[in-house]
Amino acid sequence: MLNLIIKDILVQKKSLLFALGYCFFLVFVFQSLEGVTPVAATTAMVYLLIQYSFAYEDKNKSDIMLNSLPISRKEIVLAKYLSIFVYIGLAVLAYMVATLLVSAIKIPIRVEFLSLQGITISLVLVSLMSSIYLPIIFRIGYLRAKMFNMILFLLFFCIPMGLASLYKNPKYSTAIDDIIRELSSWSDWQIASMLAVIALLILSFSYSISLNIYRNREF
Amino acid sequence: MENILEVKKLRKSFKNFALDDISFTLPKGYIMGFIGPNGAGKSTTIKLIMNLLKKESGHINIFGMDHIRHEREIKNRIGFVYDENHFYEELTLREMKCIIAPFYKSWCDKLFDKYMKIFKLPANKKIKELSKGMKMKYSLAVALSHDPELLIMDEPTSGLDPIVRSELLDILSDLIQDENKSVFFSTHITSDLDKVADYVTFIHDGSIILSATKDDILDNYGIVKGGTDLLNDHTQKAFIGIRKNIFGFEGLVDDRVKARNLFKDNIIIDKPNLEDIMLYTVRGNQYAQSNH
Repeated sequence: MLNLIIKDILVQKKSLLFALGYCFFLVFVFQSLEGVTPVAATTAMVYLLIQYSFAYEDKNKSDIMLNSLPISRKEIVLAKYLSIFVYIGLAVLAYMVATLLVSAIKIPIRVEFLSLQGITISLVLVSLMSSIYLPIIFRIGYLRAKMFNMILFLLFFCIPMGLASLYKNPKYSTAIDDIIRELSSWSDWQIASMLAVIALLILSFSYSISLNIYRNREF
Repeated sequence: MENILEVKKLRKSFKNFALDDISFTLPKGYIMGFIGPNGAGKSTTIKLIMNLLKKESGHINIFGMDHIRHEREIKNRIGFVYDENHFYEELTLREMKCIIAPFYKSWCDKLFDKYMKIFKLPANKKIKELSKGMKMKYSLAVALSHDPELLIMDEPTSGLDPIVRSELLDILSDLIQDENKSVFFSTHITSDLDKVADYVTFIHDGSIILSATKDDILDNYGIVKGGTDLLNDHTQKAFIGIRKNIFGFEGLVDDRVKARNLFKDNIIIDKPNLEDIMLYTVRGNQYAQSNH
């Protein structure tokens, strides 16, 4: 199992360097957006790494090889889900390296460091995103799943906007206010762990769907 | 005799093609060649054996065990080589080995190094930099390094030049010196089998036409030549495939003795090779169809 994860990183050696460069780029581009840069950068990077890992699988048709080895299909699917956390770790590391470097060489831009809060938010975002995306890839393959990228991205913009417009309606705004008031009485770690639990639940649900799909796939 | 691979009434259908209740067995310690034209169902059969495709009905037993219930244990004892290697092209040969090795219980690095040396493979080169022949040898080195009892190969010789092909066949015959090893390989190049196969299974259009020892096949089948005046509705039935022209006919029979009894001394019977058998069978069917 560990092997499958190491394999995913090994085939992407080059993309990892690219991801680091990407971080630098985002630090520059998003400097005016307060609070967004670290989350956007890490989430985008994880997204890229997941995509690439499937792209290499697709390019070499390696599912045929993997499924001829003494590995269960369960392990192959589980490895893809577990590697998400490895990618988050790598993305956080890359972002920290990028921000530290930028501030160390004193480039005159505003640098936003990654907070624990930021990491939690990207963890939740990445989990949600992968929970939707992975079953689609396992079902229709990487190339065709790419079409869903656009839809997925739009969804991620539309949902917050939808929530915002919901808030304008007085019928919902009091309820939302209540929730916010309730949540603000919670401590940070309480909120963080609640989010983490929700994210994990969604991920495991998505995993069982993917497993079901992949078990029945033919090569 | 212990059977290492048993396929019984295996069925799988696609939109335009169906594998129709095929059966054959491979005893331990032998090489079986699986021949047939392109699209006959060779790769489908192999993918079903490896559980890459799901069978609709039938049984596949490997080492006497059901191939799905004991999938992991069986795959630990199988080596596989496909017509393309499906490794990660971006990795070096050594990196790829490091990824695959831990999956096998009995992987032996010494054995791997030995094959890398024999095949003259550069461990630090990327897989995408290898020639087709070298890729094949690398696949074979990986497939053999956990000392498998059964080697399954799908068209390993297709697209290789004659020198590499003959090298590959030599390796196979060396391998089979070990009586515990068996090889099942598909090919559409029948001359591969003339050299190394003990058993031949011939598949055409999703059905097994024949499955027997190569010697039996070559001893019993015959190419019959004679004048067209010998042919009538009755005698023509003896042939699997037949070709006629103004000078006479040439046809394939599966029982030489019977043909001799039928035509007495009016014919010449030649020994066929596997290619003749394949060609006549495939064309013979078409001939029969065109007469309907």
